[in-house]
Amino acid sequence: MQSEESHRLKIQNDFAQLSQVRAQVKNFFSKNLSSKDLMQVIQSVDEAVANVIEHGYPDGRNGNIEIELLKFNDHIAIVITDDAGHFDPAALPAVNPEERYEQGLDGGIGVYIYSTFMHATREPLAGQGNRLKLVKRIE
Amino acid sequence: MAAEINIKNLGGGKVIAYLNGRLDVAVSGDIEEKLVAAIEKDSIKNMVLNMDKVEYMSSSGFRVAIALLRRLKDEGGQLKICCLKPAVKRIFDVIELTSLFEIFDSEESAVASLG
Repeated sequence: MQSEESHRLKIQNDFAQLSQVRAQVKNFFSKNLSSKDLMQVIQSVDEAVANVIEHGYPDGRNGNIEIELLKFNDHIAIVITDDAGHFDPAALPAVNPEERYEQGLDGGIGVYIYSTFMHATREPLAGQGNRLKLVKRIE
Repeated sequence: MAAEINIKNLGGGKVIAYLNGRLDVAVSGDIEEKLVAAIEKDSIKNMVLNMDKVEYMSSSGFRVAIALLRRLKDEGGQLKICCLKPAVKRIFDVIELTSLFEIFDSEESAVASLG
């Protein structure tokens, strides 16, 4: 499906760049989403990109992450493509944080948040890299 | 704005920690280190996290709160949270952490609940 409008940003695997990502997501979708949905989309992208930076490059190499923002008639989408090693979602299960606390763990909250706020599909790319697509309907 | 922290010691092993700014993965580790250092330095058992000035909180911020809760409970202490902005409160609700934490609307009621 052809998007009506798109915006692409590229960052390196540096946590300091997350504030710039949040600002650009806010700016791009601010006229299309309610304030509540916009907050959820910003938080979802923040969590997803932070996960890539935190877990995708355990060898410490420089990495590249591309974030494509897309507007459609009835939904918005964000496609996050990285050049990290293949990322196993099962390693960070999207489980209730309270259950994680009871188990003595505290990881997996980011996946839980973006999977709750948006429809998420992930696929490994040939060779190396991953693509995560986040979709939210426009109410 | 990056998150900042100020700690007010109430005596008797009680403190209020005031967080200020955006609590994301870039700053959460530093915030946790400072809070844990304060707990160890002054033998703190009971803490109120005042989040009136926290505009945004990512999962890394929740990890800090969970780590503090676990640490203080292990010492027989308590962690109370107060003054959440609506946007941050919504995240607590969605990820079902309101049942894990004791959350108060005002600082006074949070401090009073420490006993």
